[in-house]
Amino acid sequence: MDRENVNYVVNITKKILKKVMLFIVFLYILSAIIPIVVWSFTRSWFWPSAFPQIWDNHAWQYVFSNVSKVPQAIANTIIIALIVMILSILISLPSARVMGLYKFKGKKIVEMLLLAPVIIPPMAVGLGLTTIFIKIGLSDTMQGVIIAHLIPTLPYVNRIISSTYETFDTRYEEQGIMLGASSFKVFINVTFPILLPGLITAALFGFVISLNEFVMTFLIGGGRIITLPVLLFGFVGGTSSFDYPIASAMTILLSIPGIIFLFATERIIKEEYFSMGF
Amino acid sequence: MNERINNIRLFLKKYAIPIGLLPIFMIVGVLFWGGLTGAILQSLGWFPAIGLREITLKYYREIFLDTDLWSSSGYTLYIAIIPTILATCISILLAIIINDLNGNMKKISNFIIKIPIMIPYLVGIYMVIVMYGQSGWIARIMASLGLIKCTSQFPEILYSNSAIGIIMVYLWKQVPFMTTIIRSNLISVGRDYEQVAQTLGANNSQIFRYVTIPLIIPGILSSSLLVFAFNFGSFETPFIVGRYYPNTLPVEAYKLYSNIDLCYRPKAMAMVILISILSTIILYYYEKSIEKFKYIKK
Repeated sequence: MDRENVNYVVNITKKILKKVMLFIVFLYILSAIIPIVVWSFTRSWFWPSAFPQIWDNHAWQYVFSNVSKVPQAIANTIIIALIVMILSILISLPSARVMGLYKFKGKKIVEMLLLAPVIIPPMAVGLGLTTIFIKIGLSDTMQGVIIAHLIPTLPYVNRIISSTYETFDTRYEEQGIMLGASSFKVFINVTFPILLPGLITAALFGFVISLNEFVMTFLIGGGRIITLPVLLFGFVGGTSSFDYPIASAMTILLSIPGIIFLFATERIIKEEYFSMGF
Repeated sequence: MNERINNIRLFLKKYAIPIGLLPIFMIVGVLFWGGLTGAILQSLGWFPAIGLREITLKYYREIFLDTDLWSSSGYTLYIAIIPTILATCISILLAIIINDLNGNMKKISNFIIKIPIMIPYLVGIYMVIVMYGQSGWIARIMASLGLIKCTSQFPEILYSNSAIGIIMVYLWKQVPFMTTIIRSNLISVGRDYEQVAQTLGANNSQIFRYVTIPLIIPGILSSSLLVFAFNFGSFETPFIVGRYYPNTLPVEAYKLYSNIDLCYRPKAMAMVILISILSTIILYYYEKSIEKFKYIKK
């Protein structure tokens, strides 16, 4: 009887501890939203009060005016991310097929070469790349930034599509060809629909990685190609005295695409896709 | 008809691999490895743009003799190792806790835990500044309650030797990342082994120690290596909230690179190559741990 009681208490304590830990982690993840939202509506907020003295929306007005470069940065960020997404899918389709369906000598080495950009820091590659891009006239251009973004994007996109191919049965394609369809028709009507869930996941990852990329844009764009991360870096990374209301409004803007992404993909993306090392 | 199919099949079989790999190697191969080769050449003193054409190891020697390099390496290793260990421990517990939840609670937890993964590091950096800085919200709340009188009484977590600010940014971003990976490993491993152990009379802590952990250890290992490699090479977080000098290797490399005097560039490149060599070692072990995971899955 005594022992049962002890067990009961231990179990209850464990349950409570688990809930407490979960609560602390979620509090840590989310709590900073409050001061950031408050700051974005602040006119003046002097130390040491816990809330601002004067509220207004000047930061939001500034952010959406043409002076701030924010509208242009949003446009740049989305255009770059969309093009990077499409290009990375097109480039990965053939290689992912090879990596997913074929076994060949040196496959391990190819895998490692393709994964290297995830491990080797973008600063290392970026610094080397700037010199080359200056020579061939790609630095400070949209094209240059888009090409540079492919480096961190392709490993993930390729890996997601190739893992979709791993469960793909090529006999469907053979039947299509047997029935007289051209290989292009077979791709559109047979292969594509089967791959679609994996392709959507890959596309979304490609989009978000490009959206969040900072170092490559910073080095290759050379301050001429302004994206949201580059703009926020300019505000936060400068000197110690930066404009809190405007930086807060921009932080909120910068977070929205990722959260929309999460909402949109909750049902599409299988939990297993994250096990590939993200 | 049959002949045609066979021809196509033969053609695909023969050339599919090189044809399929060509586009991605054009990009990753040429750009990535090209960029790296460019950096290696410059680090060895091949920089025709400013008239350097002599291959030498001088710049490596210079950065090694520089005592700040060691201090910088120490700082870099510190902010790479500590968050990785902390994030790993927290994530294992968190993944198991979330996996044991049911219904709506599980759905909500799953959603919240993924938010930081989708948001850039810069947002995390700004959050830590606004929330936990010396004039952040917590300091302000404490001051308005009369607990502290001036900003300097609040612990200095940003721009400090302790690098707590950097560690907090990394944890904010990487605990969710690792938790998601470990949890997805838990899902794909399934509950069968745990149930077998239970039937055989193992208690909860035995199941955890001898069944669950060995099954997910490759996932833990590979994700913590990814996190470590990232921390080791990341730029914006230490640049903004790290100590002023000497900062981490990538930040110091960038400072050398952005010097108006172009003569500093070979040194910057040598530093960057040093970082890459260490990262390559990590990549090797990463692939090895992935390999183990494939073995266990079978």
